[in-house]
Amino acid sequence: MKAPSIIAYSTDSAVADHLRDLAAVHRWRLQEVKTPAGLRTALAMPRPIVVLWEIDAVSSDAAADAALADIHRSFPDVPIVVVSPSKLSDDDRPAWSAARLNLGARHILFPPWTKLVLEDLAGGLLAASIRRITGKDPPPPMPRGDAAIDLAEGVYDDED
Amino acid sequence: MTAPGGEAPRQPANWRSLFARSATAVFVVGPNRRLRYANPAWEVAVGHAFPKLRGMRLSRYRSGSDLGRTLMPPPEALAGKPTNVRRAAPGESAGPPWWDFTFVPLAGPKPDSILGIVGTLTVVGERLPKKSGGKLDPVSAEVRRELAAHHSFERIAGTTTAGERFLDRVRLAAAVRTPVKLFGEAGSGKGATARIIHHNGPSAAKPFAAVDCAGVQPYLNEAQLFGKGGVLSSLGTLYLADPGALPRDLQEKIVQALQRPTAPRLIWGTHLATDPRLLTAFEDRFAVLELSVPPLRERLEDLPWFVERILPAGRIVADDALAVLAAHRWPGNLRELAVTLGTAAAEHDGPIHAAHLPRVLRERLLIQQHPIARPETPLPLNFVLAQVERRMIEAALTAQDGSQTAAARQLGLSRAALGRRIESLGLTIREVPR
Repeated sequence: MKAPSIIAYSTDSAVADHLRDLAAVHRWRLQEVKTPAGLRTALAMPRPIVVLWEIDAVSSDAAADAALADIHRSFPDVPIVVVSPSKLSDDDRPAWSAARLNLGARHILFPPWTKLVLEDLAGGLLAASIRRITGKDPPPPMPRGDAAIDLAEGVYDDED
Repeated sequence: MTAPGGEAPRQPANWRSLFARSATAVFVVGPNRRLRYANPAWEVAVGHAFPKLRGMRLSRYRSGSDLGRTLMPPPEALAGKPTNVRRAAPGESAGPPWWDFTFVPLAGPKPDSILGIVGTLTVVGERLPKKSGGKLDPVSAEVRRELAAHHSFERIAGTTTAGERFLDRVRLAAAVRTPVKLFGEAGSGKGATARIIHHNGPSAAKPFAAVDCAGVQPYLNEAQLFGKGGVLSSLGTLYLADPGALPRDLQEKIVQALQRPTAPRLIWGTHLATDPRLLTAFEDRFAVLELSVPPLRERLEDLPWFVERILPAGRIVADDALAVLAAHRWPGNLRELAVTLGTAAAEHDGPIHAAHLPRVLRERLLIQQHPIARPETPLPLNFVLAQVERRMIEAALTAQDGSQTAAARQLGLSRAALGRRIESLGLTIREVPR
């Protein structure tokens, strides 16, 4: 199996920065992409993947919606979490979220998207994706910190 | 009074003083679900003095207080099973902050009875300042039209009788608004089928949402559906993948919420014919129409049709590769086929040939084409018959004290025939003394 991958599709590294520890302890790849074409290339090789896609709920446009729908049509098994850097009012939020879920998003996050929540979402969805593709639970995470010496062989075919 | 040994009797350990000094928020719920004890750390975490809440009934019903609903042990704990659960703090429909509970039931003297439940509480996250939002940009009609067109009945039609039969059932499900249970193996296309039913059914004008019950933590799913700004009331169809993975109190919440007339239609997928993790009320209410999604191995004649739809535009599979694909049993169903084809397409340009497919699949075809010939084992019938004949003749001769005439009569043979058989078997006749 190719190494599972967390893909952060965002204009900056804010989302990816929250997920570096999670990726490291599980030996998962963390890829940052900046364009729909980059995302499509990253998704071309089948592997367990979760995408965290930054779409601003306040300034989102038809192009972002079309790209989301297009990626979901091409890769229906890939879970996509839409992460909005802006918050909407409680009245506007349900309709905006439901519309993006309809386009193929699996979950919508509004601020505050803390490290804890991002790790729970990305980790849970990627573990489920590994189970779906391999039929097995993902290997256990490595202990965090410097206490452990990692002597293990690579787990995945294309591990760095 | 002193004990026989002259020492003062030992006092029972005071568990209250133990908990009182603990920094962990601890509380005790009685068997009647009333709050019986809470330590000072709990008072700090919850923000209430315990004496004012002593005896408060913890209830999941709306008639109870927000705090009582949040502190209520889940059904698993009430059934005697230690349980961890995360809930939004009272007054926060989505969190943060969340309250993480561990509920440990104390078994009673009778089977299946509990004396009470000890709970610990940890507050996770901090309440953040609220922001207001701006104007929304609605999803364009064209994007929605393309989405609906993509999820047409054609996507599952196929060319075989099995495919047509399945399509008829999907059309029926799309024509009504009842809840649908999709039963099928992992990777067989339950999620895609749910989408097709939605986009071709009476709820198509409103959004579809798929919830991964096993992959997303329950508190996040609960917040997305029921929290502040939750989407449930905005949906046309809610698809729950593997709802048995949800905690039972969330299952119950869904059962109650979907009873409302404005609630979305429910479609749910499972690979289990009967899921013991599901509430009976959930199965009873939502398994109105059951559709069995066939595994790929039962639709192998449709394989070229599936391949064409899975591969990117412009890519084809050569006949030698198609033969390899047709020889596999596809335990991972359409998902496994998509991964296999996608990997081959990503790693090689041009038509996909057999050599581009995984070695294990190619070997399977070879085994089918050249079955291993079993070595021909000789059937030793003559040997067995000779042994049987020998035993019977020996037994008859023994029984008749070595008289060949009497033994021949017993065996239904002539005296001469018995003599020939004795000779051919090389039997030694024991002389019987007269």
